[in-house]
Amino acid sequence: MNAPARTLASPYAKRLARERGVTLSLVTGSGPNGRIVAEDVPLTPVAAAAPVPAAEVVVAPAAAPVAVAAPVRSISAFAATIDLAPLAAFIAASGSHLSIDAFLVRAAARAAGSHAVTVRWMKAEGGAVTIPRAVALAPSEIARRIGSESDAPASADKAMLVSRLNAKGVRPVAGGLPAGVDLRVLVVAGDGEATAEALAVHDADIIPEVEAGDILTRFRDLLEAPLRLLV
Amino acid sequence: MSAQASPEATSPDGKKGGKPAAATPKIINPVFRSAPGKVLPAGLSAAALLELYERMVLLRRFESVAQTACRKGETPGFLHLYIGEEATAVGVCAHLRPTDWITSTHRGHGHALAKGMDPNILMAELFGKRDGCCGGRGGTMHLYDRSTGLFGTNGIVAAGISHAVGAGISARTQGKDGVGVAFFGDGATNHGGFHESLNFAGIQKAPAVLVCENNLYATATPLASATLNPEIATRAAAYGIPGVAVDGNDVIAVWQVMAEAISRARGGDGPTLIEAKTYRTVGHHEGDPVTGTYRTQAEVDEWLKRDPINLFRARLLDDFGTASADELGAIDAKIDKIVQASLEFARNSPEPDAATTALHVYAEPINPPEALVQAAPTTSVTQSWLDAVRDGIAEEMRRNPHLLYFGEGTGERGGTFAHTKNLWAEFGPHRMVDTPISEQGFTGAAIGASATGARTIADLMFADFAFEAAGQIVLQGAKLRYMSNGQMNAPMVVRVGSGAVRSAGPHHSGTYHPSWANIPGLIVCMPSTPADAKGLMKTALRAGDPVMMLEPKALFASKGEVPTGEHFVPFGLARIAREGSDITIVSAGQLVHRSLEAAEKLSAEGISAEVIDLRTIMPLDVGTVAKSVAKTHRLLVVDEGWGAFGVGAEVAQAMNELAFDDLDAPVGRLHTDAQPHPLAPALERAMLVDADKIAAGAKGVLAGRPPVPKHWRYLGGQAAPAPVATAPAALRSVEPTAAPVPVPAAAAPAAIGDGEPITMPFGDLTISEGTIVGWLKQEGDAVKAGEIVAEIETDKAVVEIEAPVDGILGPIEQKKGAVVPMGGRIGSVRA
Repeated sequence: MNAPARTLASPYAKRLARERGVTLSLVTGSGPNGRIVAEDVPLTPVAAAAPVPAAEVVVAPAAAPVAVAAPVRSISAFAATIDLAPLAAFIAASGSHLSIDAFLVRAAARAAGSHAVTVRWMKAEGGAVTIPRAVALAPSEIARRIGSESDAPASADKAMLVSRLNAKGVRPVAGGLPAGVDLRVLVVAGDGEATAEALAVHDADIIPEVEAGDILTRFRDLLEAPLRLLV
Repeated sequence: MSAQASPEATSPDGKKGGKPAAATPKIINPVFRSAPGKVLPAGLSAAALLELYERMVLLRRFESVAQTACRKGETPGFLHLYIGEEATAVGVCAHLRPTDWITSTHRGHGHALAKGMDPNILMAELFGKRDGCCGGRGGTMHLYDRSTGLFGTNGIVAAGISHAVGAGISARTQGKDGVGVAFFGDGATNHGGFHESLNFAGIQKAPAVLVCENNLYATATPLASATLNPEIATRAAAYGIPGVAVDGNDVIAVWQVMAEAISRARGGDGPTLIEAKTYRTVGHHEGDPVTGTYRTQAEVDEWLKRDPINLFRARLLDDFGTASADELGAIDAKIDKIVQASLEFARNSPEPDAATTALHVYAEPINPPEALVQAAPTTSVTQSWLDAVRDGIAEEMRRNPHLLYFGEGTGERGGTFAHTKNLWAEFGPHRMVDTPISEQGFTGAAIGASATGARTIADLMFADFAFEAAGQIVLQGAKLRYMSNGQMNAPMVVRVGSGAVRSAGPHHSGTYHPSWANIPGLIVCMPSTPADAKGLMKTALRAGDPVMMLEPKALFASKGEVPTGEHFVPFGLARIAREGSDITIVSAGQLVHRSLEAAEKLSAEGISAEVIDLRTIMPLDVGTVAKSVAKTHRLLVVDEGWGAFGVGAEVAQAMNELAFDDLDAPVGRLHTDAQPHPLAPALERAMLVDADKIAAGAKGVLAGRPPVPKHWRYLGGQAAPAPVATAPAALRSVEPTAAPVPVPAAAAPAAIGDGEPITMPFGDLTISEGTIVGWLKQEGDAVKAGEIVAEIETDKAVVEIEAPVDGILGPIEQKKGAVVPMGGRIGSVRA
């Protein structure tokens, strides 16, 4: 039988080759029996517009990097679409009547890590609430604070801004970054919507773009697997 | 009871008669019958008599119609008819309220109707229709009706007896005078379920009545050929409870006997065994010949002369003059209409919607709401595993006064592992129930109690012992929600110590979680930290399904940070125990700690391993594993269960289905070798998974060659040799089993003597250390072999340490207050 020799490759190597436009039969495998594994797949070629690896997180085409009036700040922004169905199911299963805002705050705090010990929640109707150590608070407690009139005293900790615009059919493309703030997450989601659009705005001199992308990815992942938010 | 020998005959000295007292007992079992004559029996009015008659006619006519439908092929499956035995169910159930529970057998239509089930929903269930009492999920042998107190007809012989006992205990716990009544056949009386349940009911003084319908044959096996004591009522003496035999075809007699039994049960005097001697005048099941080879037509004819309805009809007409023949005929006609209506109802009821077939396997959602909303964070405290879980149970018992704990030695004694210490003192013997060694009996009672308003922990001590109760767990608890169409559920926790630790041997080392996770309806937890163990236990005690709580014995002495506030861990959420980027290692229970050690070794070689702790085997958090594999692209599953059809196979296949394009190498798996656990440490070590095997396995996966198990035992060669782990150093075996927080090592000894060593003895599987309370002798003192020289306090007791030989004590190597591991040296004696 003169059947052509089969090219052995791991599923992941095959996926990478597909994404990178690489012909696997030209690649030498380093695995058992000459199996091609991920590290054997070259990064070339990229002729036409290369598919973006993680399709869900894209640089907002029209708005990034966004130039803002402040003179010497180098500001970038990333956008992502978030599936809200798991969060809605989670809240329903918990038997509580929380809105998604408390979860947005907690997810933002978790995702930002050391970049924001404190979250400053910008109310849609104007005004803001400072929530120190939001990462350690239960969603019900965060909801209570968001709803309260009194504001916690300003702390010396780094604060990030989080806000939600209750609107349908629009996407965020730019957001201002006040002095002293390095990170902001702006979410657009109507009540009961199946998806949300989120924009992470950051000072690229302080939070590198790679890290900001990671923060937004984590933010999305936490909201899409809400049980993770509790551990 | 003449079966009891006289005290003289049992005299142990053997002198009185000159020979031992062993003798075949003489068995006398008088059968109670109602008094003849025209006087109405006390307590029974004319109206009550007519109700008994009407109810018996309903049972008979209903089954005659069902019999015809079955012959026409209208009912799927077999019907086991009760024809000929109606007086027993009707006489017993006349005393019951809807809030009392009965359990029944495969021959249970009569019990269901006697207890008050609507004939329409019963007939529709026999037809497997949507409007049946269980929506077509149960059928003839699995009828449930919460509204009338029918806790199941049952396809398993003797299985329902313990449920009735549990239902009675449950009612008592809730401060009600409800009673559990078990119906069972003569065949059941030679089954362990009968023995264990009657014994447990007796010692617990359970508000229960145990009704044996002795129809002489277990299917086709004559009772007299199955036991040398066929007088079933006399067996009550074996359990110290009253037993009475009654003519089961005499409805008045049954009513009278039951009147006394129910008053004992409701009055707190405990259970009664009733043997109703009766006869089915039809075949074992519809289609089975009436006589078969096991009985004669003459015998059937003899019993037909004593047909319970005809007998009672004659007494109503001739003795009591309660009604005229016409009046009884009117009752018969009324019942015929009801039965015909039920037939039409069943025929017209739609088939169940096929799209609903998977409903009612588990609670939906599977987690209780409390476990899904995190409480405000609190401080934490360092606690041992057993204390943390014990506190969790105590919190739940304080919150829920109907939470019971059934276990062997878990009462005043505080548990084999000291795992229920102080609970008895706080909650008393009625809630911390010390059980006989009757796993089947008290686990069944736990199901019965849990399904009727109480909650129960059934503590089976070792995971190995759970098989003694496997029928109850798998066939009853796990299926109850489904069979009953979601009407009933058994929120019971089966608590066991699991897994290998210190040569516990073939019968005390297993974990078996893949076997349980294979059963739909069961939740299987295997925590690895004290906080998770407490959190999962508390979640289990609020959840709606039976939970197998497997706590690794090797971790009982471990310590960890436990939140001081309300703490729940949801089912189905894995924990990332260590983050990494090159390979994912998935594990659970004690092997999480071996995996973390392996990750540390791999890290020294520049390999970054992510370790995932599954926490629950069912539900299985494959999502977290897939997410990790999307990052690392390689996976090794490490599990203490046996590998064949196990956790490794399940997780690996899940990755095929969910993360195929992310895999850069075949998934590997490492399990405890597929063999029993040997005693000898050298043999046991060879079969268990350790950190070296995990590190070697991980490197195999990274090289694209995962370890290959040998458990298939197929005919043919091995595809590739398994990578060989580096041989563990010989001394490793004597290290104490590792714990999340390392056991504090003994302080550096002052000086090592050259005499005979004095050591902390190995006392118990689950104790790993002790504190020296004090030395009773000083260095230089002369001591005798066996003389107490020191005292050491462990979690369970103060241990006295003896001098090993005659000689001079010293040097003392560990001072007062030092913490010493099991087997560790504390000093020596020079001969």
